[in-house]
Amino acid sequence: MKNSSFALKLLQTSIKDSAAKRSSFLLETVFILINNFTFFILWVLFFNHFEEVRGWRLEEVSLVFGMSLFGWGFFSFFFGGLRSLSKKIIDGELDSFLLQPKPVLMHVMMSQCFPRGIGHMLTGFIFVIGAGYPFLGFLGMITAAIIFSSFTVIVHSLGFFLGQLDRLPMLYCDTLLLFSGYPSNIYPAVMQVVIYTVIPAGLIGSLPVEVIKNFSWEKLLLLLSATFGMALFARWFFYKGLSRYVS
Amino acid sequence: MFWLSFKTGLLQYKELIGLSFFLVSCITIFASIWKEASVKSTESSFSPVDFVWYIALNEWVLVALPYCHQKISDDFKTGQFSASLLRPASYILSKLFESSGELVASLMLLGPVAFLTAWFWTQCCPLSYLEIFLSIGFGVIGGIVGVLAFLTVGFTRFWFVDVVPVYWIFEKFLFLFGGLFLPLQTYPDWLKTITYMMPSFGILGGRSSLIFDSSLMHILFLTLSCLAWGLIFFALCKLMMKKGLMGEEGL
Repeated sequence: MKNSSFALKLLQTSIKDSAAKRSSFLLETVFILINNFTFFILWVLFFNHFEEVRGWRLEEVSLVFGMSLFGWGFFSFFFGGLRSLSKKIIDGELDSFLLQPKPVLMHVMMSQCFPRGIGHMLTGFIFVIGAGYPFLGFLGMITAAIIFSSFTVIVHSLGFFLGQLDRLPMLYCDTLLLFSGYPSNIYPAVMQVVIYTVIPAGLIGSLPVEVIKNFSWEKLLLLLSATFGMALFARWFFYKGLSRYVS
Repeated sequence: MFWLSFKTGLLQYKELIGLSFFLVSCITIFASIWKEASVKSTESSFSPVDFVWYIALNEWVLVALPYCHQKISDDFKTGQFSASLLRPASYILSKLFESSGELVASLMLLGPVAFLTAWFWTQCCPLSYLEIFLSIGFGVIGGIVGVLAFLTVGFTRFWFVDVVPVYWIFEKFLFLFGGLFLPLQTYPDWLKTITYMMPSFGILGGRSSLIFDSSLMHILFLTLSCLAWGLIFFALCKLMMKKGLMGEEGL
């Protein structure tokens, strides 16, 4: 209970901070909408030329694009502090978080907010609604947000064990975002394993689409257990690393 | 400035490993898409092999392009920009040479990665020696036009707090008009005509289209496009710098 009120306070502070630069916030949101819709036109052009790719048509791509964008936007807006986690670890910036009697990971996650996340969430929402699957699509959007956040925690926490990582965590997260926007069933078998483990883009894109299009309780359970399993692992990995932390 | 940044670029191997990983990922995604799409396609004029090499040539330059817009933005934030104005050297030229050095270093190291990945997926190379030579040459020229374009984006910092959203929009238009994963030849005629007039023609699609068309006419048009857009972006940078500095003085 105490933690959730602390989380709410952090969120309020972040939102107030974003709202203070209202014009820049609105401009960014508009720019992001243009940006995302422009990219989607490429898919429209593609499917004008080819009817489908392994059963994926514009509808499925719209769904996966929407879920992935929403997840990325949610993560950037609510858990933006994670995007510089490895830098905080290397530069010894976690000290200020450790001094407070609050959950460190939650505090770091919510310490920063990227207002541009709203633009991504909005576009994601439009694409999912446009694809015609609001309810299960919403579930996919939430699982995508959890996976993006968990994955970022894991990748950045490598800094506890490996030291200086430069742009690698960012590139690794960008790769996840890149792969998650495309159908996962087009790759050869070995790549499929990678897509569901090392770069879990399949959990953001293909698996939720499979749950939505051909619903079964087993698939839903698989999606939920993979998502929450990853979140628990990320938490464990962060605190394991934190025990080795020196500023 | 060029050599210094070229050498630094070569020494940043960790970042280049990361970029190589990203490049391989991009080519793999598109190669897989084209492999599947070609099975369903009735289009016979383009082979999936050509498509994979087209994408490899596109991604090679795209991934190698340095984030010079971000560096300009950082210079504004840290006060380096104001300090550089006191030096007896052009800020635009110094940024151009610095970024070009970085670009050439990345192109040199990412080139073999792109070549090997495309070879892995197709098991052959559809380019003749002359076409390989032309592709490398235009890769460097197109990359420099890209650097100039990104510098122009960077100078919007005079008017925007953050240049990243401007960069995104520019990048997406580059993807759209440059035929990121769909060659310009497959675009509808009206859109094709527009793309020929865009800077993305020299930076991405037109340059990589040497795979499909290496006629003298195409090469001449590509050269003209790169030259014209290079000059336009350079003039824009100068104009923006002049206008921006006037605005700063006014404050």
